[in-house]
Amino acid sequence: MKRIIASAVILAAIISFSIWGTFRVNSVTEEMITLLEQAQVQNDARQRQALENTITDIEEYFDDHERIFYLLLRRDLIYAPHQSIHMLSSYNTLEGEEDLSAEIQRTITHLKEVRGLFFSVI
Amino acid sequence: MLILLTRTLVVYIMIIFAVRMMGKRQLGELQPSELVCTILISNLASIPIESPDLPFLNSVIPVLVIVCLEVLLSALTTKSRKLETLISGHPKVIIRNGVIDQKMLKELRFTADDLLSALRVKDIFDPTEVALAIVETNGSISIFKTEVSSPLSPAYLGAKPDPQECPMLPVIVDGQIDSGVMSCCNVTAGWVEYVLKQQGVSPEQVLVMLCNKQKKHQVVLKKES
Repeated sequence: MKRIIASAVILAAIISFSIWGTFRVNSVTEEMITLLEQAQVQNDARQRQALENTITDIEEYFDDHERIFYLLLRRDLIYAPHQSIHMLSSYNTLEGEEDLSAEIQRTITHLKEVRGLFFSVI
Repeated sequence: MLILLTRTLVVYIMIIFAVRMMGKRQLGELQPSELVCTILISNLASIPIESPDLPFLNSVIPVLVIVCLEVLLSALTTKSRKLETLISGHPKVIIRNGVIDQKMLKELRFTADDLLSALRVKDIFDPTEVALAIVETNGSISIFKTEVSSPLSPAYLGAKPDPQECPMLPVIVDGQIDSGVMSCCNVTAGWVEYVLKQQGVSPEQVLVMLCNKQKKHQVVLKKES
């Protein structure tokens, strides 16, 4: 009887953790994509100071929530957005406007790929 | 390298925990669902050791889910005969009164060689000696011999043998006294100490001490290496 109860408890804990993990990754990637889109808009409008603050926010947000990615995702899926995000600030110059736009777009694509792979059922 | 070491240790402990969770059923003859479980767990457990870039939870969660499902399913099969039949099937009679059921042989995809080999494992070289042979759900074969072929027992000779002695059980193993076994044999710690004192030894010097309810005992001492 003890084993049956323990199994039921462990299974319930795993299901709860999986649901929590799913919602957490969803909310974190959604927030990051929103911030990146905001950065894209600021880049197009040439709002350098606001863009710099947004990029800092993105980097801090990613660093704060990195652990959830390392816990649930393959490392090679995390490396690409990690590198892209930490390179954004270096493109934030008058000459680097187009490069920054491309890099933001690439980062958004990486994050969408991560979501696609994480949330696929089969 | 540290990640490999850590994961190997954790996986090792986790598998021991998983096998203990599933209980003695898993260690004996395997039912189909148990065989599947064992194969899956052994494959899944090696994944985090082979691929350090994969998150550790990719192995832990599937193993725990499989173990829990196996325990819950086995609990449900004890409540429902239909479910048990669905998952494990039911035993099939393959020999009846010395005659091989060839239709059942084909159904089970057993060859004659397989059957004869299984009978030889049970020390039977002639199928006509078998009253009933049943292929169990775990693939093993149970045999009931004909009366003519069965070994003689005292009942056949009309003899009344003395009441059977109880089996000899280990009261001390590697210097450690087992109080549970002592109560099975109806002996006390005082009696054990008395026996050992007569031989001039202490429990720590004993490798194995066996005894039964009739207080028949045997002591094997540790050898100094």
